This record gives sequence, structure tokens and C-alpha cells, in this order.
Amino acid sequence: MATLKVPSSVPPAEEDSEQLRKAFAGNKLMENNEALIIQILAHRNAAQLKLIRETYAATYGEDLLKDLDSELWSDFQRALLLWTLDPTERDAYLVNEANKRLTSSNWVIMEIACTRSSNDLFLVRKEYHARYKRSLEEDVAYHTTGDYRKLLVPLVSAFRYEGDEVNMMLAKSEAKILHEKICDKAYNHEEVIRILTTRSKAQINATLNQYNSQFGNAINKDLKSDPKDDYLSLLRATIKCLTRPEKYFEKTLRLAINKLGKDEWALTRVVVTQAEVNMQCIKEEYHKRNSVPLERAIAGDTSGDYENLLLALIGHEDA
Amino acid sequence: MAVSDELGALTRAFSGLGVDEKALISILGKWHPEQRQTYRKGTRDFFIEDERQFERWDDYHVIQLQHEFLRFKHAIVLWTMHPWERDARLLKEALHKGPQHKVLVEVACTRLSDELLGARKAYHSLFDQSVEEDLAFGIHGPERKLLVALVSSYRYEGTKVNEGIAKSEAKFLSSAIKGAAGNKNLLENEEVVRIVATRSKPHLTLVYNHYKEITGNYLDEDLEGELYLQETVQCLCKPQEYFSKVLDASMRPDVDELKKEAVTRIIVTRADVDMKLLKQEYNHKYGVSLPNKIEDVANGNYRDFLLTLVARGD
Repeated sequence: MATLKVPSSVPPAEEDSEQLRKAFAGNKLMENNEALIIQILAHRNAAQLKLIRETYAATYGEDLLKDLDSELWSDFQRALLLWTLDPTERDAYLVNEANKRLTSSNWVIMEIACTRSSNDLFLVRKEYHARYKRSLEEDVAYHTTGDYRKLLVPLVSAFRYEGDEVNMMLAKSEAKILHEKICDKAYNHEEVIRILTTRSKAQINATLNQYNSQFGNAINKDLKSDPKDDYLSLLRATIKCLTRPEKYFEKTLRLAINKLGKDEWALTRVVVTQAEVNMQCIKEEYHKRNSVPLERAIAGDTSGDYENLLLALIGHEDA
Repeated sequence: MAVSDELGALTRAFSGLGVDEKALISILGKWHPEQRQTYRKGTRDFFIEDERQFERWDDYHVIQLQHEFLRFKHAIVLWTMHPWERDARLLKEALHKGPQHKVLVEVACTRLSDELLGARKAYHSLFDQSVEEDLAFGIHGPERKLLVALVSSYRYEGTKVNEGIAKSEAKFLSSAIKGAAGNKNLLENEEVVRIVATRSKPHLTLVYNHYKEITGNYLDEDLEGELYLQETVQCLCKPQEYFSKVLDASMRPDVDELKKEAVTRIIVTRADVDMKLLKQEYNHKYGVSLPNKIEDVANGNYRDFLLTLVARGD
């Protein structure tokens, strides 16, 4: 469930547009401008944001995002830019950016590939064509190597069946295959990749339950043999994303807030991409796991406009 | 018609692709039992003398005849289907009858990106599974990675290409092919698979051209022996030539049923796409027009239907 809070009566896009124009034109050092920007943008949903962008462009002859795109990219500006993009554009942007960066980028690609619905992932691939004049999979393939490529290219190319039907015999036999390969430490084996990158999420869930029943451990426990192995971490995260995304997001947020992860932009990314999707669930998961509400954790770790924007997006009342 | 002519005509009506319904009706319809017996006794290809003194229809030929009678029906049904359902069913069938790798490559590589996506959607609806999971599960050899990647691709369809990258990829392919020489392990080469499975068709055409400049040879010719890769490159870079070849091979006498099915498949799936170019290519390659060839090898309603489809784009 979304945490985004939209006012019951939303001003017309022309009015929002005008206010934003004033805010951007105003003295950049004054706090009020940012507060106004947050007050508007952080309380509109994707469709409303799209309308505001179109109206702004029609009225002022430039893209709203140009005004956001300044030389110094603070966390606040980055969060605002990502939030204002249409969700499909946003995902395409994030993947493209990840391709250009180095290691932690693999996680972003995996996260988007595994937590979006089949249709949404395809829309991202279509958007990628339009924006970058190449296919998403060709870029990911070109910029990754070895085991990472073996895993990520099929992940981004998947168009998983989305029904609930599950074949229990298959789940049993594929659980066995996974166990076999894990015992052989063949973590990049074709069969492991095949099962994780082609089966439906429901089928994978059934397979992992069978794994647990037959072999006594959850699969991710068996995959923890080498804590320093980055590929194994990615594999475990893949499995989590496919079966328990809210747990994956909770952990990602926790590591980001406690500065334990390598992924510096994780906090922004998770909040912005999940605010209209699953943030309520993630908040509950966070509270359960950390005994402290997400709002308080974020307030403790961030400040100023950035903090206000994030809090607004996760539904905090005062923002 | 003289009796001996009728015997010949009847055999012809039963031979080739499809059956000549009119001839069957006009000849068989009027024959008395003795005439039919004469036919059976005189046609050793179709009838065998059974030990219990009767002329028995050869089992194999009965099965073949069934295919020939149904050929028209299959063509009509395939033609009427939504292209997405059509391709999904073609993929499913190709997977289960063989698997027929050629057909898998053909469908994955000669459709537009959105058409292939549509086929994948239809596959969900028809079979409650994704095509890639079925494919990956049903294919076990080194070709699995290539085939799954081909069917999962969503290639960029714009004209923008990167000359520098195309040149370096052509160079890479040339040394990979030299290095593999005869070992047939190009399929295991991840970079080769990456290039053919993810690059856009315009980009691959550029790679194809650069390859010729660098080595003096055509990429698909140098891939002779590498079945899956050769077909992949042909389908992606020279589809009309590929289709012409397959059509011609399928229209030869005494080919098996799977090969014969290619005629319906190709004509139905290309009629609205590039039939004009296909006809030109066929004529250029084989010196005979495609309509004439079809007149020669096909019969009855099936023939007439094919000719109508082939006439599109005229």
C-alpha cells in the first residue's frame, strides 16, 4: 500500500505550475521555496505529476525537470528529480545510471528487475528504447561480465507468468536441483539461473517452501557460506526480492540508514520508488524489525529539505 | 478422360502439398467398385497386397494423406488467428515436436519487438507459463542460453547505431570464429551470444557489413556448421533470403511432414509483412517465380489459398 498523501482537493495543474515557477525563480537560499516545492510535489501522485509537467512545459516552454537539474546535486535535488519522473521513466533512468556506475549498480538492476510486475518491467524496457536509443538488455549485457551478466541479463529480460497456479511436482524437483547445486557450491550453475530467472514468482515461492521442507533450511541460509562473496549476496537478494520484497526493502533501508551498505543512494531510491507502491508494508516491516518507526529513523539520519521530502513521501503527517 | 489418364490424375491429386479436391470428386465419385479395385491393384505406392487377399492401404501413406487433407484447414486457421496467438502456438509446437530449433529461431528473430512481446503475452494466456520457462526447461544442450536469450529479447528498433562498437564487435566475431574453427563451441562464447541476442537489427546489419570488409567473407557463411548461430544471423540480417531457402527446401519432393509445414507457416506469417521482397528474392535465387513453384507442387484449395496470399504485395 502507498504512503503518499494527496490532499482531498488538489489545485489545478496550472496553479501548481505557477507556484513551482515562483519557487524555482526565488532566492535559492530561502528555505520557504523548498518547503513549497515539497508541499506541492510530494503530495501529488504520478498522474498528477505528469499533468503538472505537461502544463509547466506548455506554459513556460521548458521542462520542469530542467529547473531541478542543477550543477550541485544534493540528496534533496536528486530525490526530487527522481520523484517527479514518471515511474517508468524513473526505472529506466535508474538502470541507465546503474550501467554507468560500478559494482553496487548490479543491485539496482536486480532490484528493479525483480520487484516490478512483468508488465511494468516491459514498460521500462520500452521507455529505455525511447530515451537511450538502445535496448535495456544490450546495455546491461555490455556493462556486466561473468556471473553477474549470467544472472542479470535473464533477470531483466524475463516476462514472468503472473498467475497463482503452481506445479507442486515441479516445485519438488526444482527444489532438489537447487539443493544439489548449492551443495556442489555451483552457485552460478545454469539450472540455478534458469529456475530463478524464468519461473513465475508463485512457482519460485512454492519451490523454496519445498526446499525448506525437504532440506531443513531456508535456501538463503544455505547460500550464506561465504559472507564476503558479493555474487552470493546478490543471489540471496534476488531470491528475497522475488519472494519477500518488503523484507528486502526493509533491509536495504536499514543498511542505508545505519551507513552499513555500499549503496549510498539506496534511501532515496527505495522511498521514491515505493512511496506509491508498497511503502506502508515496508514501514510496518521496518518497525517490526527495528522497534523504531521508519519516520524516526529517517529523521535521525537526514536533515533539512531532504528529510522533509522523504518524510512527506512516507506519509508523515506534519510534512 | 481415358482410364489410364484418370489413374495418373488421381495419383497426382493425392501427391504434393494438399489434395486436389475437384479431381478427387470428379474421378473417384463416379468410379464403380471394379474401377476402384483396378486403381488399388495398379498403384503399388499406396496399396500393398495383404496376405488375406485384399489391397491394403499403406499405413504410412494413410497418415500422410491425413496431413494433406488437413493442410488447407491448418492454413486457414493459422491465417485467421491473431498473430500473437499464432506465434505463441508456433513456439509451443516447435518446442514439443523435436524441439525444432529452426522454428524457435525463426519466430524469435524475424518478428518485430512488439510482436514478439505480444507472442509472449499470448503464451501466458494459452499455456499458463512463460515461453522462456518452457524453453529453458525443455532444451538442455549448449544452445539453451542462446534460444532463451533470443526469445526474451526486446530489441531497439530505431535507426541509431554506434559505428565504433559495430566495428569492434565485427572484429571480435571474426577472431572468435577463427579461434573456434571446427570445434563448434561458439555457442559457449558468451560474447558471441550477447552480440546476436541483444543488439538491434540495424546494428547487426552494420556488424555484418563490417565483417565482410574485414574478412572478405559473409558472416553467415563463416558460421556454416554452427546451426543455431548461422540461422540466427540469417534471420536477423537477411530474412527474405532465409525464408526463400527454407521454402525451397520444403517444396522438394519426398521431404518429411515437419519440413512441409514450413510452407504454410512462412507464407501465412509473411503474407502481410514482406511478401513482395520474398518473391523477388526467391525468383532471384531459384530462377522461378514463387507462384509458379507453388502451382507445381501444391493442389486444390490449399494451392489456391497459398496463391491468394502470395499475390499480396503485387
